[in-house]
Amino acid sequence: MKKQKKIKIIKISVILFIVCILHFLGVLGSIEGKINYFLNPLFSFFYRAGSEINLIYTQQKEKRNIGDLLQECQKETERLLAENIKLKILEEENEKLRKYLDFKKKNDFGYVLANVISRSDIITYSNFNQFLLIDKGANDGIKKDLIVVNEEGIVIGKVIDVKEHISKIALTINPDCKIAATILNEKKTSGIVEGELGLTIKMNFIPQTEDLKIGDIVITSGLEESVPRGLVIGRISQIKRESNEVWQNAILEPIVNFDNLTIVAIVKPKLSIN
Amino acid sequence: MIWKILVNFILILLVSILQISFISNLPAGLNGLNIILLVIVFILMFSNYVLAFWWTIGLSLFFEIYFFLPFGLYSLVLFITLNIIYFLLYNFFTNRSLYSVLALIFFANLIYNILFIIFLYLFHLFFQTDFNITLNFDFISLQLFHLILNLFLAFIIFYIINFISYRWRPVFLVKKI
Repeated sequence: MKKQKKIKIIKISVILFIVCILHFLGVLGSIEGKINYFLNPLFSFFYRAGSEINLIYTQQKEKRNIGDLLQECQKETERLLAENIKLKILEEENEKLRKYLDFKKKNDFGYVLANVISRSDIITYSNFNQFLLIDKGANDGIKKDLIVVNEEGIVIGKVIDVKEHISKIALTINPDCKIAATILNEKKTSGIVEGELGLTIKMNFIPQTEDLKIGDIVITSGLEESVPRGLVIGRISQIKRESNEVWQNAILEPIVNFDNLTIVAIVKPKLSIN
Repeated sequence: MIWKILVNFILILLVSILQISFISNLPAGLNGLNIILLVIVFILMFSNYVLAFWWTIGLSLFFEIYFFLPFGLYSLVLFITLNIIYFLLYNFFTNRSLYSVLALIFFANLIYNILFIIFLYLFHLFFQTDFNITLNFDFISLQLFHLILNLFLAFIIFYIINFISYRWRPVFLVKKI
């Protein structure tokens, strides 16, 4: 009896090994995709339930009335900031177009909305989960390196991995998220932003000769093919400059609140939207 | 028989969804709860190895589909953890006392985390995948905090089980598979 059970377990283990091989051969891809597709609404429902608890906890912690007011002001500020940036860019583009009469727009961008279904990773190595899983994937036209924004149009992260019906997003505070960015100063200084320690964002490769100010807004530079220009990433909160270094760095404070993300938008080039 | 399979399948699905979606978004550090390990240890302790084995298969398959790790890695880690805990249960912690439960949860968490760190590091070394874990004081203190949370939850579940049923009172375990 004991031997029979052991043989049964060995047989099941062999079957599982074969399942792994079939996965790597790509045979099981459509089955996994179907499972994702049918279960995603359930995951999304439970994620929202967790979000509600998170929101209640945050409100109680910050004392409800002040918390509500702050949230409203925050949302309004985010909206106005994003709108202001867009208007400034439109103004600049308008001036350029006046000079170049035969200028044509190279690309247009659209949005794909997705529900967040999880914030977990296998091992949590910081107090703050820096990944999101969403219920849209390759079948919805999502690809790696697409930018993800919240409802105010502010950058929250980047797609770093894609399956058929789900995708993994690294938040801007995650070291895996690297974006080409520009500072809205006089010289429109460019650099690369990446997450640091799961808490802040760091902008690297800023020439020493560039003049930065605390409070300067940092936006996407548009130098990456699939990332439009002008999406707000954060605000400079600290400048690190060493005279013996080639580059200076800036620490950015994220403008967006990562706590209550339930719906996000993935920015896609319009030509590739289904 | 079919009903038993169906009920177990639904429970596996529920536990997976709770762990992946609900718990991951909880505040105040509660996102560190690992109900997968808790469930497997309790099943091992109050039922048998075969049922724990099937639960491990079911849970790990859902996690393979929803996480972006190399396929099979999560299953491998969970299987190794299951077998080590089974060995500890029947050779060292041979009764269903609270202390046995807490000790097994402790070892399960430890083995689970260590195995994942090792495998993720090996994948980083050989396949250049990302490895953002830094073994510093912050990381270790965070893992300790999560361990304490899991032990606390195990404590509560143990007393609920004891309250509900006399069948699962502390006894010495001698039966093996």
